[in-house]
Amino acid sequence: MTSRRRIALRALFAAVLLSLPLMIVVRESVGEPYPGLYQPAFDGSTMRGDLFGRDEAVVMVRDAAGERHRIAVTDLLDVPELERGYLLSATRSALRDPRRMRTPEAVAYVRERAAELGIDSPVRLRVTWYSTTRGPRERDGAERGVVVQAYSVRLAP
Amino acid sequence: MSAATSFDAWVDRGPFTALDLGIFRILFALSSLLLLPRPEAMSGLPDFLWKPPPGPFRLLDSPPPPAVVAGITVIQVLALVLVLLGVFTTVSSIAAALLFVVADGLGNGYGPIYHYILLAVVPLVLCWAGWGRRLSVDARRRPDDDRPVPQWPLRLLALCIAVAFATAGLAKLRAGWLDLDSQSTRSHFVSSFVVQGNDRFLAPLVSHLDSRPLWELLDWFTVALELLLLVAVVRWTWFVRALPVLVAFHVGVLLVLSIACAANVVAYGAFVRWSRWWPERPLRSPSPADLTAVGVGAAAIALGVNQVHLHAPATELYLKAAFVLGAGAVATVLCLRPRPARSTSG
Repeated sequence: MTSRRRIALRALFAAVLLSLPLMIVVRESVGEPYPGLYQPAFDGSTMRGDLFGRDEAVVMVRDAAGERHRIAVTDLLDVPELERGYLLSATRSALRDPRRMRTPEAVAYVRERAAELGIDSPVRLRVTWYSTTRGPRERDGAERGVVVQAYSVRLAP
Repeated sequence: MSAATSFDAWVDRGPFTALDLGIFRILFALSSLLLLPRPEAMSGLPDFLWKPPPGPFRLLDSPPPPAVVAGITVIQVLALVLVLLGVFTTVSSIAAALLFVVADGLGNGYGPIYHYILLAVVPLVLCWAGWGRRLSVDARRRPDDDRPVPQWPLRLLALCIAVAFATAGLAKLRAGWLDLDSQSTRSHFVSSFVVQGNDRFLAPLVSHLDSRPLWELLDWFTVALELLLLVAVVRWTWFVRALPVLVAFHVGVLLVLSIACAANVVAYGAFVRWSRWWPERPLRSPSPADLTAVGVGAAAIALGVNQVHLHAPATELYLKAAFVLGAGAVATVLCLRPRPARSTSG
C-alpha cells in the first residue's frame, strides 16, 4: 500500500472515531439527524416507583350544535399499512405542536376525519395534554394529573 | 514501532477471505432485498405530518409523489440484484447504499427514525474489501484475481458498528439509565405493553416481573454492552466474541419489546467465516440465462414480499423477527461447535 493511501486510511479511521463526540453534540442540540451513524437512544425512565408516568392527549371536537365529541388519539390516523406504535408516535408528535395543527392541511384533515367518524359540521378542535400515571399492567384507567398543555384550533371554514 | 506503524499493522490484520466475503455478499443482498425500506407505505399519511429529521431530507417541503417513490424502490431492487450477482460489484454496491439512504430517508420523513443505516454502511464499506471477487460475474471476468483481501474495510465496519452503539450508550448514560432509583428498560417495556398494546412473544410473561434489581440489571447490561463494543474493536477475538452477545441482546429485545433489529444482525454476518461452512468447490459456470433467471427471480420475490408486508405490518414484524431469531440460531451454532485452531488474532 502506498504511503498516501496509508495516510488516507489513518485519516478515515480517525474521522469515524472523532465523529462520535460530534454526533452526540448534534443529537443533543438539534435532534437526531438522518442520515447518521446512530443506534436508538431511548429516553430515561418515566417510572415513579411502580407507577408509569406519561403525558397523554385528550382530543375533543365541538360541532355546530355545541355538542362535544371525544376522539381517541389512535383514531385520528387511519392507515392500516402502518404499525400502531408508529402511528401513535407520529400523531403524538403532531398534537404536541399547535402550529402544525393550525396549518390549513391539518385543519382540512381533521375536518375530514371528524366527518368519517360521524361528527357533522365540526367547528373547533380542543387538545389538552395531561400528565398521567398508571400501574405497570393497567391498559385502561390512567390517573390524570395536571394539565401540561392545552390549545384550540378553529375548524369551521 | 511507532504508533502509526502499529496502527497500520492493526488495520491490515484479519482472517477474512475473498470466499467469506463473497458468500456474505450473497446473503447480504438477499437479506436486503427482503428488508427493503417501504416509504410507499407512508403514502396514506396526511402531508402535514411530514417533518423529516435534521439533514438533507428537510429540503423537501412535502413527500415526493408516489410514482417517484416507487421508481426509487425499483432502481434499488435492480442495484441489489447486481450486488447479488456480483456485476460491477463496487459500483453497484455504492449505488445500492446511496439508494437505500434515499428510500430509508423518505420512510423516516414523518418523524420516527427506523435505525436501519447499517444496511447502507455495509455495502459502502465492504465493496473496498473485494466482496465481489468470488461467486460473482466479476470473478468470471477476472478468474486469476488472487490479490490478498484488504482487511481494513472489515476493521472500519466494526468501528462503525461500535461507534453507532456508543451513540446509544452515551445517550442512555446522560438520560440516567444507571440511576438505581429508575428502571428505564421497565419504563420502555410498560410503554410498549400497556400503551402500544404490544403483547407478542414473551411480553405477557414479562409484564409480571416486578423485581426492581432485575430491571436495573438490564439497564446496566444494555449501557455496558453498547459502550464496551468500542473496546472490543481493538482485537478481532474480542469483537467476534462480542457479536453472539449482541445477537442474544437483540433476541431479548425482540421477545420482550417486539422490536426486531434485523438490519443489525444482517450486518454482523460480515464477521462470520462463512467459508468454513461452505468450502469452495468447482461450480458449474452459470450461463447468462441462469444469471438472468436468478436476478429476475430475486427481484420478483423482493417486490412481492414488499407488497405483502406493505398491507400487513404484523407480517413485517414476523419477517424481521425471523432474521433476528435466525441470527440467534447461527450465533448459537458458532458458539457451540468445536473451536478450530486460533485464526482471529489481534
